[in-house]
Amino acid sequence: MAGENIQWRHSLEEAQNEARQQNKLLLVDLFNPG
Amino acid sequence: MGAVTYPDQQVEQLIQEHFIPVQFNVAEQPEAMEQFNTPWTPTLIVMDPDGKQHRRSQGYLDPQRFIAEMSLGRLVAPIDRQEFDRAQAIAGEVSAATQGDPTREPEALYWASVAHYKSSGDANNLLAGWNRLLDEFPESEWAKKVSFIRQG
Repeated sequence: MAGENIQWRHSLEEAQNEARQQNKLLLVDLFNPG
Repeated sequence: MGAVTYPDQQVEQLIQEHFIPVQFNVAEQPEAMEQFNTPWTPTLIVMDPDGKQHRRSQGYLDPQRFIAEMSLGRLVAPIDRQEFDRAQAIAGEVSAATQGDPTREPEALYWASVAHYKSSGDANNLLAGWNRLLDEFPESEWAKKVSFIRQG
């Protein structure tokens, strides 16, 4: 899909750990390709 | 979002610098709708690593509005945590990012004024920002929230 330069994660838990380590916020995007 | 907003260079840069982005395709993971308590897509949520949500948007956002919305998320997250110095430190940057957005620019000014007041302890900083809000965005919902300062 377009926007492929953004490194989307697909596991909330892993993203939360990463955000914690990097002191960042999470951006959660729920989408429906249809 | 995927066709227009996410390919935008400034959008990409904002996400890269300030967020860990996580995406759920609800056609494949319908349980995510219940998990995040939303009936509709796209839904965007700014949250802490511990799961506290600070900002939620439903519906498409073009690049300008996306940047303004996410920037507001960056501002209100530390305010929610009562980290007012931290919020104050990014308030100017967030205000610039919301410029020209008729909904989010006044909201950013409202919260930036709160952060300035709470970080300085000087109520004049709150009144100065809120008076600017009344002068520059008199029809906005956020101006209505502070209109009491000029009454009575």
